[in-house]
Amino acid sequence: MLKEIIRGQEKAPIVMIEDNLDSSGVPLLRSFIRNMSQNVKLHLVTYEYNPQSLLCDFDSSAVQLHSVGDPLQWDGPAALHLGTDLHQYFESLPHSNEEFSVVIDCISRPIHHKSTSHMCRQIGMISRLPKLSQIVFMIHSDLHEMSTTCLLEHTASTGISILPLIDQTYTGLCSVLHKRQSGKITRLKEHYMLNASFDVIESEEFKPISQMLNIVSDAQPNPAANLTFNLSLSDKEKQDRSQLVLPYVHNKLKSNEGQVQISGAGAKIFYQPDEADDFDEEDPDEDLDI
Amino acid sequence: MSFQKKTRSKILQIPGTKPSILNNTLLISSGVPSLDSLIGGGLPVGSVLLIEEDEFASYSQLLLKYFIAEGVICGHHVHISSADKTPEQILQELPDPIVNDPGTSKKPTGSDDMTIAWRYRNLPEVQSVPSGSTIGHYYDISRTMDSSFITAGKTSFCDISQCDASSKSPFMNPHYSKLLESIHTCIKDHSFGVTTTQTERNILRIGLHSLGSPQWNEEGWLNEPNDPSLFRFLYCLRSLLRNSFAACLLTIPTHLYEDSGFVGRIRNLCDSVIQLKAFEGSDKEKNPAFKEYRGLVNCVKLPHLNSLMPLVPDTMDLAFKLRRKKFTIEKLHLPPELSETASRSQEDPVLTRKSKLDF
Repeated sequence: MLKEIIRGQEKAPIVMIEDNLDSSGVPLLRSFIRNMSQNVKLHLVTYEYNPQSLLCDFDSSAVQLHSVGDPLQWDGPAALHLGTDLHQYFESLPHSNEEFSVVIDCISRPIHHKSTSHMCRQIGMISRLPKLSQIVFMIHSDLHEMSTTCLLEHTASTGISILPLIDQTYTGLCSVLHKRQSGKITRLKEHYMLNASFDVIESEEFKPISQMLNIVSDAQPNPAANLTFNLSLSDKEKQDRSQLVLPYVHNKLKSNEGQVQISGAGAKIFYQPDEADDFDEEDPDEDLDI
Repeated sequence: MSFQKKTRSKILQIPGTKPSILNNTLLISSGVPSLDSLIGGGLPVGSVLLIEEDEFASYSQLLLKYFIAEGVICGHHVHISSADKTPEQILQELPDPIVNDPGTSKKPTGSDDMTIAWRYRNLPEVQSVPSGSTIGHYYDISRTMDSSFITAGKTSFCDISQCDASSKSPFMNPHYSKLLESIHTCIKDHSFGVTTTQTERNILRIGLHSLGSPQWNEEGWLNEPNDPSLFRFLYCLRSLLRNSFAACLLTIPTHLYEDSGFVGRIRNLCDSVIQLKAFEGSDKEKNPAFKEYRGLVNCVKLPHLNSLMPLVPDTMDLAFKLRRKKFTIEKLHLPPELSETASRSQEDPVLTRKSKLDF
């Protein structure tokens, strides 16, 4: 799943990468930048990292950098600072008629500067810009409360949360929550492997060891396999069995037949129960014609 | 002395409505007949129905679309607002109505005649939808409604997704005040008010998608935990609806709010509250006890207009099913025990669960 999302084969308009101090999401972010810059024009907004370190040695001709430095604007008014309305900023950029995508390296700082819901609305508004194809942003989840990540997860179409690595043969482990446009929800844990140029070469579902053991022991023994007598029925035998009319089945057909026979014989029984009779009105088995 | 035959006062004849047999209110269908029967026959005109969204909002959005589609089919005026997507988009995604309802067609009997459990043959069949209701349609969610159904004069929108805060109201968040204003003008322009004398009445259906989601927040307004805008909006909305031929269905992502008191205040301000809890993405999705259902329905509040008590259903243990042509709310049953292992373990996953409806 992760591979398809990064390569753009699976449509994911708003991607959120959640990382923390122990497991960094930067390699995955580089992988996104690499793949996105190959397809469309990419706007990279950096609040925290050096843009050159994120770009590495990719072909950066399709990437436009927007760095946020100088937070107090000592060097004169800057176009982009911590308090900038990102939606208005991107709307005012001179766009040609081609599609573009946006990567924000880390939105933790603007969240602290403004508020979570403000950032959610900003991201939602940017994602609804007519020419935008994809927006990817990262957040350090250990710097925020649970509610913040919940709100952002609600806004995002895909949430990738980096987990501590268990199997060292892979580059990393992450849990992916992908909401497709149609409404289908996929939630799974995946190992991923990146090569030296941060292209994702493999991503496969992570299965805990206990589950793998379960699969082995899942084959249940068949007690009827080695018997000296015949326990199963052949098709013919089953058919014969189904045709047998069971004595307790009180079907309409049978009761009608019985009445016809009695009336045909021309004899009727009139019986008046008297007090001495112990007449049971109830028919606990419902098998009598009362 | 002369006796005069008591003549019935002229009953309003509006397509897609029926009078309630319980409390003399006018009812409209929510678009899901089983939901109608749950809330007492239909949605009373002048009331607000709140759907608390499931985690991924897929089913609550479906209910909203049913509600709007029902309005379009009945020729009601439809007013849609959303901040997460454009209202036009919601109108384009409406499900296709089914002309001959699957609910009225008789099921073929005979093939599954009870040969072994023959004692159960005479028991009445469990009906999820009481027959005899004249309002409500079924919809095919795999197809979208033909645009010829939608008449331009009977739809209006309030798009929050792209608007910028132009009016600075001191009373509430500008998005909410913009929406309230649009509803107010819609009621006034098309004379849905009860005081206006109108020869031909119609119903206004207001569908509000994902109200109170983070997309509704506006910078410079109060911080979220103390923001009274949503409550003020709901108060105003309800008082507007009480005086007009209008009904509102709104969905709110209440699972995003941490404060339970906040959610309680929202519930208090709506006439009926239905909470959806979908199994999607949770452990219950693979639990065999729930394999027939898509999620649970929690009836938080039932409408009791003109009466002291709401119509209380037989059971509150409800769940919803989704088939291609039918969304139903039913009593929660355990499935029949058919597996070879007698014990129903909670972890036992159902591996072959693949239906047409998986998106």
